[in-house]
Amino acid sequence: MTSPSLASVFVRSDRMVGRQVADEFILVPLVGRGADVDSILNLNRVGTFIWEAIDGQRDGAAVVAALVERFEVDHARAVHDYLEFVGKLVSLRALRVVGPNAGDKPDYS
Amino acid sequence: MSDPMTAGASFRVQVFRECLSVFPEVTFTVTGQCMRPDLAEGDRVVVVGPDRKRPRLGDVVLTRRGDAMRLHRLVWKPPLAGSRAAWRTKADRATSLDPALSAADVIGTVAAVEGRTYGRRPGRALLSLLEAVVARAAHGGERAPASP
Repeated sequence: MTSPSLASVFVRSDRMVGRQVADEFILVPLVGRGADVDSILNLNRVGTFIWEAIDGQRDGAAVVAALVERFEVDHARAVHDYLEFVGKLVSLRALRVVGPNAGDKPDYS
Repeated sequence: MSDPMTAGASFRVQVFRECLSVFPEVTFTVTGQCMRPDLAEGDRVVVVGPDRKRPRLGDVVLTRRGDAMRLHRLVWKPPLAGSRAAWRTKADRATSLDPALSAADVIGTVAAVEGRTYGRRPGRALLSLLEAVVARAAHGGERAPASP
């Protein structure tokens, strides 16, 4: 697929599990019957917020709006961070697109 | 926003313990050559927690010492469950035993190596223990470690 856009709606993959460990939030890839500890991702607060906001219903624009409200970051920065982060998660197959514009070109507006 | 797990070693130990409490097994890549030929750098091992597989002599176990973790062979453990006596591990290619540890320091046991057959080697544990005893004797070292 092409890069994600703000119109894309994502759902979290069943092969990636989020866990809170101590004060950190990690994404654990599943392999076989367990966890692949080599590929664990350590998320910061923004990453954790985005991960938890992705619910298979809200599109990127809605997640970015929530991001702006929660972290008082400017919109352009939030869009950039969101698309970059989501792109990385897609490349790791931690997310998959469920609609409606899975094939759109990147939207950095 | 996201990084491969680069946090401190102590956190890494917590992550291993958490994963082993939640999942039946964890998989990771071996680093170092101290367990060759049984385990080589780059091997992907499957580790299970002590609740699912009780470590036995000859198993390769994942242990913690301070913030460090290592995969070494269990060469001595108290014969009675619940004993507070020390457990001992050793790298196959080392001549000396690792510092004594307790059952609580054992995070898990290697159950499999991806892509090939793997099994416990009690004979290798005895040989390893003997090597350590001989090495200590040869160097006029401390008391033999077979009775830690």
